[in-house]
Amino acid sequence: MHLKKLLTLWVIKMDKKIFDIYDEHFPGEENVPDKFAGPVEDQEKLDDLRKSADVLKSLSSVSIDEKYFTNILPRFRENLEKKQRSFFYKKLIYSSSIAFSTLLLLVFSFQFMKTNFQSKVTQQNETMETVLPTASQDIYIASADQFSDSIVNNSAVKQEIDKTLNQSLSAASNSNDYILIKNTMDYNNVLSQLDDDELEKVYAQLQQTKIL
Amino acid sequence: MPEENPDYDLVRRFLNGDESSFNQLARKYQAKIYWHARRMTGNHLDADEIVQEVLLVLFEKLKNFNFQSSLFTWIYRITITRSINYIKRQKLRRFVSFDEEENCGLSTDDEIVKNIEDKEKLKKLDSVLQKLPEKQREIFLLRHFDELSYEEIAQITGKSVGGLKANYFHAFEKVVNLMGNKNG
Repeated sequence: MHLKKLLTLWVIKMDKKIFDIYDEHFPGEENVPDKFAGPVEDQEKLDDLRKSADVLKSLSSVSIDEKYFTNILPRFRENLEKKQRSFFYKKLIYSSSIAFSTLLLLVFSFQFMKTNFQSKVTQQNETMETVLPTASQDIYIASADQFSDSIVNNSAVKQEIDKTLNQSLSAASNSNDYILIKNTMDYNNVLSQLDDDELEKVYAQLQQTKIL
Repeated sequence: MPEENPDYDLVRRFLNGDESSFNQLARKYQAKIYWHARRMTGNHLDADEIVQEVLLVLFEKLKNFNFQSSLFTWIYRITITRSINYIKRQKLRRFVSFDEEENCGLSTDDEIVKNIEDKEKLKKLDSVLQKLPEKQREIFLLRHFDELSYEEIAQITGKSVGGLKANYFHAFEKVVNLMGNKNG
């Protein structure tokens, strides 16, 4: 039947009761059911409704290229492969980014711990420096005393001092204006060997002599 | 017995690693999926995208199939959800791009429909169906074109039989009027 001719069969106003009868025996009923015992107008309405429904269905019965349906599956397989490939790459990128982030986190944590440790050590040193300045000064003074004592008590140093002093004195003794007493022992020996007259003589002479 | 369902056997074989079973299932339902999506969206390219999406969902989610309902009900549920989501996405895309005519190029059926009268029929049907609200269109298609019982539709959509009957009546009346106006 031609399309235009079919479309003229449409009914504009639908009767719910008739529609229910149509719907109840839908689909596949060719004839009006036997139990339908309504007026003739209702029968006609039902027939019109059925024809309208058929027209509507006939609009849908079109033939499309079978190649389309044949190609659905190959195209699906192709899409699936693409999707799986992209999923693999996404997974790879995701895992890499997770691994990289973890690595980065570890590096930063290590760096942070290192900096923290160093700052703690510096802080500790600073505390030590502020707590112990007097102690270090005491240590310094004590060590200076110890050093001076060691010098004074050192026999080698003593000998060196005597030697230097004697050299200076002997150098001075070369001059005629001075009397050189080489050491205290000699001086004491000389004095013990002199009698009173000689001592007075020496005394008188000493008064006229310049002494170093 | 649900165990005697041939679809269950195919599903089990697929889950055991037999890829050809999936191909059999896809071949069995691809036309139903396509036509439902085609009538819901009103154009071939959108329908094709939905078919591919549904097959992908089937492939990935068949392991979750519980063998309690029929596979065909399960496939319809996926198809309906995907179609509605797709339509919503398209609407949003059109709204964001402010382009009403965005899909004009996509709705041509030149490549798959060769017959001129068939093209005209499809155009007329699409123009009428697209005027129905999505939920009403969905029920109308399931009942009128896919010839499912109200119980099956209720299982797919999760709506009551009474509600479905009322929806179908209103949709039918609207379609009849739209067709009448177009010819008047």
